[in-house]
Amino acid sequence: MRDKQTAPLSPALFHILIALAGHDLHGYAIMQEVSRLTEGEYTLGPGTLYDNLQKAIRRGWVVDLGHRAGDDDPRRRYYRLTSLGTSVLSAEVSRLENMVRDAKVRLRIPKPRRA
Amino acid sequence: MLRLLFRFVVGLHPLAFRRRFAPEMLSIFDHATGKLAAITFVADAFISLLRQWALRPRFWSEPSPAEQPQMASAGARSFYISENYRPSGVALLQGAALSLAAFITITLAFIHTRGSKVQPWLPKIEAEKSESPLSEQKVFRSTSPLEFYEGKYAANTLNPATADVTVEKNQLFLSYPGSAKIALSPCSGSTFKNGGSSSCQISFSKFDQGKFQQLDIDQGSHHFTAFRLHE
Repeated sequence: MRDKQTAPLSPALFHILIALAGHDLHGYAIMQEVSRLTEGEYTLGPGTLYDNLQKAIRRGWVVDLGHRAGDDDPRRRYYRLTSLGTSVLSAEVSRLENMVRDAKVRLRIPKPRRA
Repeated sequence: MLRLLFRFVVGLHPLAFRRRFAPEMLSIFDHATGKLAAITFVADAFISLLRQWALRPRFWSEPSPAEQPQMASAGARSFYISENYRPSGVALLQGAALSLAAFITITLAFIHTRGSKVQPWLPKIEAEKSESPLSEQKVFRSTSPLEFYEGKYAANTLNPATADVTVEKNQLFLSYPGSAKIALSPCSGSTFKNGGSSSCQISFSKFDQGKFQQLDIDQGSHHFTAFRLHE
């Protein structure tokens, strides 16, 4: 499912895949969605966005759907998460869940014993 | 101004990236609100430029056909559109200038070498000094004294045909009854040839008692063998 090249995902790619997990989006919409999901704490510039989108497309995680008729801006292209991309994202989420669980265990303050 | 700069930075990206994403990047830039956002986008494009050239050499070219089925199998696209590539105006101008320079160089080279002969280099071969030039026929000397050949030879006791071998002035002669004397020139060893002939067809053999005992004359299809007559 995942090879050495894909794990772990970079924050930008992770957020892009999350943004695309719900809907087919164009580049600007991905940027807005990432900003919304992180409540403005993480923002993508167009260079970072398309650099990571290119990587995802080459790896077969995302497909380019092309232009959509009736869009406000004819330059926009839409992108969709593939089943492979969904699997990669799921694996990354599981990995992060495990890490969070381990981190919580390590951070748990031991209760003081009664004398 | 910032848009021009952004466009310039985007234009410096690798071709495959530029062709695919440049219009969208400009579209996003056009949605930027405020100068700070525009500056951030320019800086981000510059970082992307460095990343593309330094870290993404595999992405400089278009996706290989082997990668297409994977993309198509996702269900969204079953074919790949390859737009016709057209070089930029600057590239065409540079190409034209280069072609013109090459043409002028080749033309000048032709004009310059027109009057001169082309002399291909050939390895110098020195012929070995011939010991016997064609003009000088090698003189073979008989290894045996001419007296060893001298005498009368007959085919056999029943055949009356005989041949006389004589020595005159250090020269061997062969004569048949009723024919002129033939001067014999030594070929090698005990082989001789007719003075005007090129083949060595006369040979002596079976040396015994200080004389050759057998004479063989080979004239193409005719062969004559004679033996010394002892008087």
